[in-house]
Amino acid sequence: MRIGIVCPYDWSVPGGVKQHIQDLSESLLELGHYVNVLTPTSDESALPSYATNAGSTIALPYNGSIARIKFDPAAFTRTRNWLRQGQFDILHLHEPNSPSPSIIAAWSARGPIVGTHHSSNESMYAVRNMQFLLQPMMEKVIARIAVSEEAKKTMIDYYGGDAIVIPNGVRVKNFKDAKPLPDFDKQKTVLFVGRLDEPRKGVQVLLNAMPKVFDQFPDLKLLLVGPGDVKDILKQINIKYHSQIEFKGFVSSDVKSSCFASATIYVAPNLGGESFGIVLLEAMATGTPVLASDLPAFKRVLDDGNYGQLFNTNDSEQLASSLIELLKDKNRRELLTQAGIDRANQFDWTLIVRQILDVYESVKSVEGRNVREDFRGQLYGRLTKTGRLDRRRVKDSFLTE
Amino acid sequence: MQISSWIVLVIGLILFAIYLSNVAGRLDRLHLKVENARNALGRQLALRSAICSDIAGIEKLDSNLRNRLSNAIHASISEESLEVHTVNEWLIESEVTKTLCELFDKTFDISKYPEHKNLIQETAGATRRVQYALTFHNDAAKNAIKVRRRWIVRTFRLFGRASMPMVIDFDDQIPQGLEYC
Repeated sequence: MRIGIVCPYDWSVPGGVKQHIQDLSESLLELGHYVNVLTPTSDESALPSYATNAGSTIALPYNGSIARIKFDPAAFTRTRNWLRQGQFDILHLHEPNSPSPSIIAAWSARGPIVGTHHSSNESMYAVRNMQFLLQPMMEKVIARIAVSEEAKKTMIDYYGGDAIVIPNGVRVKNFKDAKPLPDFDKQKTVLFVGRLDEPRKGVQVLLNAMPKVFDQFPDLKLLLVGPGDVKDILKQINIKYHSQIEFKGFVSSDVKSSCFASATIYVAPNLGGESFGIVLLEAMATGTPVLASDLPAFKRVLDDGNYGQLFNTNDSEQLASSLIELLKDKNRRELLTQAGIDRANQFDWTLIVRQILDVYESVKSVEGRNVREDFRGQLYGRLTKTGRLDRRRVKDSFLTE
Repeated sequence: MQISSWIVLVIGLILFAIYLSNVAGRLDRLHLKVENARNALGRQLALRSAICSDIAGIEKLDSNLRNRLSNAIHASISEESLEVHTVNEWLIESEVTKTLCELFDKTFDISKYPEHKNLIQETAGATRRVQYALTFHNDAAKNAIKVRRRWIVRTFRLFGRASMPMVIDFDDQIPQGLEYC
């Protein structure tokens, strides 16, 4: 199958959607399909061989993070050229409603189009007000996938209709044999992964809990992985604990898996805005027990605590006591490790990609008509030549019953 | 009437005509989408019946359920009967689904059937594809129905000669034992 995938965000900036697209593409390539990803990027040399550049991006605040997006005349030309040259059997758009090549592709293409909704955000007023403009474009998406129940709910709130849920996956083989970092003790390391300067990642909650834990375990190390201002973090915690905190800054995905492998417990104190919680699965795939806040998305991944420990969101006290309990109880940790590995295997990309291929199969056109540029019945098509090329067929399609 | 008001009137009419034509174009797309989705659903159901007839041949499985499955797929959609499916007949597909759910219930363990692993995985895929195709069809049908109910569409008969899309209903759940296959 020839599959064209559109990534709305900058490829050179790590993020959940980009990771999803990369894993999906690689899994599809391994199965022998042809894949091409159209993505904006500010560093063309870092693009993999299966990706096409859609230009550089501008940064906009979105969903509590910074989203780097692309939406300008050059993007229109590039997207349409890519569509024409690709001759895809399936066009797979990610976040089809974001101002990016995704929406341009939805606007200009016709055929078997699949859309995946990732975000679970309830305050996109701009989108709500623009909805009547977007609706006709969204209708061109034949199959809609949401990565979680939360994402599905958000999508239905905005556009109505229905979607199927195919969860995010994890490439278990990239994590399961990760080598631990040399200078950390697997028995005495607590790990946090996420941007330190982003409140919704919840590093604050963990820092409030740590003094109690450090008092009980004087040789415990806290490893903070993620970009952010180190000084800001150290300011928030008593100076006597500073020697027990280590920073790794921004790391590549290889180092990230090593960090998971060196940790006794991985803590995810996020406050909200998470639609899935792929990091949890990554930690579990390396065999590290997870202690996470009880956000709906995390609860679902951990199946209400069967595959990892939960604590009340934003409750530092409870986090501290759960952490101490887990650090003391080796048996419980071993139990969670095994359960976590089982759970991660259920979300392995080799399984998830099969479900996504099932979606492709169920929308793929039998007559072999692939995705094409087509503006018939749209204002743009009437004003330009593109919509008038084939008048007869327009008439025919009206008669089809 | 002054010439300027005539111009305004003509421009207004032209804009209105463009709007109507746009809505008609959108509706045409929606009808086509429903029709394609219905064909896809029929295709996936036919594929599922074909795979089920192989499943009915696995001797290690419960023989009562296998008989029930054979009977159900006999009545259900197949390559030949794609065109003649009517409203009531969709319910026959529920019987296939229910039988599959009983065959592959929570206690089902794929590792006990190493010689049929591929077939069982294909069955899992087939049941998923039926569910997906049905969801996509009903999503498209509901959308088209919603647009067709708008007064502007009804007044100007913008749907042309296309018939009203229908929501199709039958049991489409994926057997629990096949969820992670």
